Amino acid sequence: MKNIFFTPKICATHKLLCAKYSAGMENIMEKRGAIEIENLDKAFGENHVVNHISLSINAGEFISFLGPSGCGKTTILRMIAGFETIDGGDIKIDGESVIHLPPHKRQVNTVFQHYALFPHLNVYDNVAYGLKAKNVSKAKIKEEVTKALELVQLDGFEKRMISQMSGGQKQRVSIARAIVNKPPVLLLDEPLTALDMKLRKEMRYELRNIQQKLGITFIYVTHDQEEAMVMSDRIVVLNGGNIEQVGKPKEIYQSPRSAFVSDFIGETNSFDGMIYQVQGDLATLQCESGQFMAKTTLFKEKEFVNISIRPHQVKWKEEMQEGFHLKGVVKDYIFTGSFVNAVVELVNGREVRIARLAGEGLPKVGQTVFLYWNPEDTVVMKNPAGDFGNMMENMDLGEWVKK
Amino acid sequence: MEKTLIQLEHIHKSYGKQTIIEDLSLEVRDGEFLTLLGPSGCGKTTLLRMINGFETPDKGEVLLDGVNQVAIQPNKREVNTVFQSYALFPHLTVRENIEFSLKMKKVDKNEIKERVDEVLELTNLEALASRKPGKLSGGQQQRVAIARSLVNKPKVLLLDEPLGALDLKLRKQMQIELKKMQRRLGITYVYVTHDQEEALTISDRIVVLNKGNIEQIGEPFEIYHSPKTEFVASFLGESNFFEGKYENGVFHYGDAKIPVEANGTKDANLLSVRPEYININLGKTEENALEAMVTEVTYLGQTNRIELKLKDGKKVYALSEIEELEKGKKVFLTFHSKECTLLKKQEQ
Repeated sequence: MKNIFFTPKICATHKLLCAKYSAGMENIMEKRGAIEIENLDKAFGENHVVNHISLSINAGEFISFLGPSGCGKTTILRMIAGFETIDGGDIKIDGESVIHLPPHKRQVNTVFQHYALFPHLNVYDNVAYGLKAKNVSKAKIKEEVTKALELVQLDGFEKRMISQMSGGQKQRVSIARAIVNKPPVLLLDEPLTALDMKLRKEMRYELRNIQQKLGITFIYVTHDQEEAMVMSDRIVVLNGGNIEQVGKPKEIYQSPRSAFVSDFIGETNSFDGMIYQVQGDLATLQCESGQFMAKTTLFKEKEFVNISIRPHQVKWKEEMQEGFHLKGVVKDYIFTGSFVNAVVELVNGREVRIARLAGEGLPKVGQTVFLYWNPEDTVVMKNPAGDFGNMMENMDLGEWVKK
Repeated sequence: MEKTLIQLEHIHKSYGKQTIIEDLSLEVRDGEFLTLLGPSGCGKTTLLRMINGFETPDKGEVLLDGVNQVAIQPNKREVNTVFQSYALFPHLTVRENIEFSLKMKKVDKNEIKERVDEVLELTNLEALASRKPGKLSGGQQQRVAIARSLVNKPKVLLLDEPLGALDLKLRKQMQIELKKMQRRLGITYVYVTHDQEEALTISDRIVVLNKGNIEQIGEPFEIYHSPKTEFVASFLGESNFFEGKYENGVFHYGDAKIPVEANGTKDANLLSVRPEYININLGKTEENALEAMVTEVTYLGQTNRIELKLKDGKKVYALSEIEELEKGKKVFLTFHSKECTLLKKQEQ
């Protein structure tokens, strides 16, 4: 399954959309909002939260910082915004270093999880607040506020008080307030976390839409892989203050460069095993649970590796398939809506997850199945456990495998 | 035969002029994992708080094992509650946190040890017993909070969005773990969440609440596949809604005739179709196929989410792995006739 059509087309249409919109929103379209992060470093006491990170963010890009709690994602965002000092390195916006500028002098605005709106002001006045403080003319303010509210689909709500609005609407007001003075960069710190799941899923597509229309740089911090996958042009996966991988959603999902990434982005089944035989680019591997095949050109016979295969790529049959010996019993089904996850227990007690679209015919719980897959769908990585491969079976690889 | 453990009968509750719950009745079965699901303000947390006694109904009864609870103090009820914030004692070890309430009750020392050992084992916390909460991950802390509740041997464990503060990844792991734990224990769980996917994954039965009313009660699969109302169909998972008229196995949407093998009400004026039950065809294979144009393709990993526009301008969402789909492509849509649901349109 090589869906090569996806990325280039999206980018092309994205630019087109931006260009189209720029006719209406003058000024902001001069390709501003490129960010250079160079060797950025930060420690809180002994806790090294950001470890010499470098990253280029393109103007007009939707980029997400993704990682578990404590990975440093929010700290980086706060350093770009100027709410946090830096210990070393540099941050440039459109070629100019901003590290000596106070937050309000930087060409960025931030949207937080908690909306921080003025409860005693109506929607219009909340959005207009920043412009009024800058002494912009009344007519100009009206024009800009109207445009911003249209963009977040709140036109008609100008007179509404904040207390009368739902969580989703409040978050839209805070986005309108953040974009009304046309910053080239918008920073978003888990802005959807406080919302109901249903609303949250809808807002993902809406945010993406707003960003495409504005054509400005969005830097989005989240711990939600699905959110990052759906919205971003590129995702920066962070772990323990280091960048694990930077890439387009599809790249990161299909070609994770570390066990951490493959485990954190979507679900995966991973096996430790030894390469038993290599024929061309097809390797036969031996592991505690049995025997299987994978595609690799990097490894030789007798080498210990870690392979991962996504739940939706695992197949099953009632009889054994050539090159595979993974026998198991269907133990349980976990229903998630569009998808059903089957839990198959292999002979040695190991569990394998298999995802199927709901509605497909599924074997019964208790039935014996033989697992196999297309060797091309596997990702094979070096197993740092080396000869101790078997010993490591029970350890959480994600925590200590680095690139 | 399944025994009823909790009965809520004709519950009414309002705060000032605002009615939160109006005449709601519900039965919780002994040993089941029941989830109260709904958007903010649907009354799910209020219901939970009536079971544990932090809230009293204006009218109606709460029965536990046949005994009316309304006059019983929260701390005297045989229920325990786990909250989103774990509220563990930071200066006590895991073991000390768990045994705290037993010590307060002056339970015999040997019995305390026995009971604490038992829950430590059940919650897979044996290895962490001598650690302090500060040295535990969020998921582990939540397990301690659950262990602390279980040690009192409650008849019911109430869980109020216990995973809300966790990372998505951890949250998904904990969902599976919670369910396994509940099966092992055989204790009744009443679980509150606004996350539909969580509810589908974790529950034996789901109660879908909206504005203080029960919209539907059922097993996850049943609720997802046979929603009884428009609200349920749209709240649990994504769905496409077509307004029209149903007659003799055909749903009329504009000029289109969509074949439907009845699932739902016969006098329907709304057809609900899940994105995974829409087939995208590159050629017009069936006479009834709807012509559409691809307007957006979003990569989801397992599959792609395709946004389409019908000729009348209506937006439709589908899931598909077809590689040739790209923006602007003309395609033809057919629906799985058995998986469509016929509904009556609801006033919002």
